[in-house]
Amino acid sequence: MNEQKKFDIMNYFSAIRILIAIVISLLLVFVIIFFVSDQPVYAIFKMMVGPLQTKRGLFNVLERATPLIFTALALNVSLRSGVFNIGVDGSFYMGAVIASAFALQVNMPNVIHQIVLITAAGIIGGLINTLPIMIGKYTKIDPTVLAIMFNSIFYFVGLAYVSAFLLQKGGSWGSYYFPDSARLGNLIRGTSMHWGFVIMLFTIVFVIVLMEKSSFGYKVRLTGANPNFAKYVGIKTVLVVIGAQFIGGFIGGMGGAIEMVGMYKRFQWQSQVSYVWDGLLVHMLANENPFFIPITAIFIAYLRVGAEIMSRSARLDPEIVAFLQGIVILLVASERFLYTFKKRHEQKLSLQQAKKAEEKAALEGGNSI
Amino acid sequence: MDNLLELKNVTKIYEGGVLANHNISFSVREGEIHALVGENGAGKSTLMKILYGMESITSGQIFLRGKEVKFSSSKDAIAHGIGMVHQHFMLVDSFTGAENLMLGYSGARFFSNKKADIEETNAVAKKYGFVIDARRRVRDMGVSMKQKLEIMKILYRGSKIIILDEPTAVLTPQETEELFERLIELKKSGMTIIFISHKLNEVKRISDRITVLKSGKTMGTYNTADISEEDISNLMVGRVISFEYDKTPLVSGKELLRTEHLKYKDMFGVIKLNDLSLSLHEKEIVGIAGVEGNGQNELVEIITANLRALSGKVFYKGEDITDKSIGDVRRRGIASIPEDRMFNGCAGNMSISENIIAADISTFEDKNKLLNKNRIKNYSKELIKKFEVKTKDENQMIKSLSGGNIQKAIVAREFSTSSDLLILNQPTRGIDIGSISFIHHKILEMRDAGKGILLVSSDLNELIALADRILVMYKGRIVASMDNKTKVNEQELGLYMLGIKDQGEAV
Repeated sequence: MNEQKKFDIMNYFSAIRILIAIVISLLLVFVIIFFVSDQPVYAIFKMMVGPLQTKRGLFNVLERATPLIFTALALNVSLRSGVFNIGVDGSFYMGAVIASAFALQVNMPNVIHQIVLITAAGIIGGLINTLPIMIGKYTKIDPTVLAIMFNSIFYFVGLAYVSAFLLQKGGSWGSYYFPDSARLGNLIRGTSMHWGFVIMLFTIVFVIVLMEKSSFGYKVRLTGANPNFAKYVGIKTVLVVIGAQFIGGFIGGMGGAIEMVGMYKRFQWQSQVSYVWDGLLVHMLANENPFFIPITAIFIAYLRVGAEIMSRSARLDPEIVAFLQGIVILLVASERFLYTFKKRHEQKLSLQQAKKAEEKAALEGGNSI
Repeated sequence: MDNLLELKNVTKIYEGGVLANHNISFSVREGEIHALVGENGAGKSTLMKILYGMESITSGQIFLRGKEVKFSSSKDAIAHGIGMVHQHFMLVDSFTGAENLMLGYSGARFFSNKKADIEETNAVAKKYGFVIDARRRVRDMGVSMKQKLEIMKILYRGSKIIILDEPTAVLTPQETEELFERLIELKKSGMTIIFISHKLNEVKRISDRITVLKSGKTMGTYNTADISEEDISNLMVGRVISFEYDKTPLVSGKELLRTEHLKYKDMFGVIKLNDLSLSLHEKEIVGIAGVEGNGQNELVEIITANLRALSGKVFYKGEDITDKSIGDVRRRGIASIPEDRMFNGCAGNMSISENIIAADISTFEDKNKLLNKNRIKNYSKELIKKFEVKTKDENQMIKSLSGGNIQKAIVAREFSTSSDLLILNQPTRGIDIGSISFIHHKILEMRDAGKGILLVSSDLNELIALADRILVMYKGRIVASMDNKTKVNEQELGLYMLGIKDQGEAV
């Protein structure tokens, strides 16, 4: 029993692993900045401290984090059922399109208008995210491939819909301006913080309760951990997986709608807006635990904003952060990173145990099992 | 005689810190049959995989003909003249015997010549005295023929050392005898054979020397002639194993399970169940014996609704459950333990308590569909204690436990539901003797508590020790039904398992 209380660094292995991955990639980025910049120290300073220097920078980080959090939460629900379905991207984009359509084509009183358009975006997003699994089941095509294909399809479907029905003639490409009854009001004056932030907080709590406390979440995790076992104990795994995809897609669609009517005055996403890879990074850095998703999302958003501030003040390409993200994903996703460290530790422990057992056996005089 | 193969202080630690071999040293002489014995989980298979290059060693050295060797894959081992017959055969089911023999053979022609290959196969078979059908596809072969084909593959590749990993586990007594004759002939022709088993009578019969393993360590190497079965058994487990239990005589109660004319064909069109009918009552353990692959798994899977029968019906307490879903069948009161615990018996990456509640999740739900954490915790703690699962706490990942403890946790889960019928498929396969006897006692307890139990096992001792009635399955049929109140004769079971004897329609 005493052993239990003893501090064991291996209990925190996955957290330490992620931290080390982040530190390594940050260092690499610093090295690159030293090579390409005339004023490297200033650039690094701006990148790391810049977002904290102004109120605007701070809120920028939170704004940036909001869509990341929605996407990561959506992925958390759908990926933990054991399928690699990234159809959430299509849900997010179409969520924004549906929200714009409801904002411009339906007249409703304030509050109800927002509720209806977000719900509609959620439902459509949910349905979109179940498509790769449903079609995959009957055609035996890999759901990941289907999801990527559908993301592309829904981007063009959305674009076509906006071009055909919502486009404002003249001026730059974009829809008509949203009516006030459709937009999410401002939360804090002088920033672009909107009520979507509050919805996001509720969504975080919802996903934590759903995945970690509810019996549905347990079934999703069980199915993800071993589908054969889940089937064997009588769980209807197909329904569980599809249910998880729908909920994930719902959150994604909602995220798209909230981003659109919260941050923008009109639909202007003419190029494919993709949050799924960033969301995946956030989900992975959070160690698949929804509780940590807000923290890792804010961290990624912080790096993004920092890089932009750096590029403005030190004239460096902000895409350097993409490089950083790439390294982090590579390290976190690769099983063998720090594997020998863990292996050696395990070997040492088991040899110690064997020695202890031997001593114990010697004390007791041998022949007992 | 010189040492052909020598291991010095070999230690193997698996991922997750499982110490499988600890400072093992032993040597094999040229031209002997060297038996490696030990309980399940003593590290025999790991040691063999190391010799065959399938597992790397954590520390230690291996010497072959006095020179140190390092195998990074089984290709290296084969190049050094070491061949292995695995417990699960490594053959391509849809290929013929001849094609399997030629597959991967370095001297094979680029374009295969079917006729020449078959002739070659027949020549090899003749040379070593094996009887096999080179034209037959492996999936249509019996276990014994597959095994011969595996051995031929090794001989054909010019190996001088043959490792056999529990070759008799899937054979009937008669087939075992035939295998032994072949092995002795091979020995006479200069082959060295390493023979793994935990059946002491076989080891005693065939080997020249014996190395005993116990929980990853060697307990010494002995000349077979100088050591008795009792001595070996003592070395292996520290006590004499006996599957002798005091069974309370019970009169079986109402009928629980009845199957009528079950038929099933597998994806290759092989008939797995052929008009199978049986019935099982309360307070009764019905054992199913049979060489593996004679339809036992299909029978179990159809009863538990994991598989759909081609025709026929399954009744539980008089109700037709043939077309019910797995969940429905479980809710009606049929609990089951699957054959392969890691495949569908548990979720390795989840905690013990999350695994223990899986069979009956709804009982842990609150009104609002949330799981009651305290109830789960108390329930897990109670079961861990009651079923003596050795673990730090209920939150430990189940994967990190030993096989015996994982199995005890699974038994705990299935035996603690309110089910009246328990379907057990190989409930003690591959676990240590302490866990086996613990699980046996629990099975008998369940019987005394009035439950009906269907026990499928390839361990005849287990069946004879536990069952009230033993049914023998052969090619999808029940060929014998034997009352086990006075112990059934193992040899006689063997005759039925082989299909030599048949009680016919009377069953």
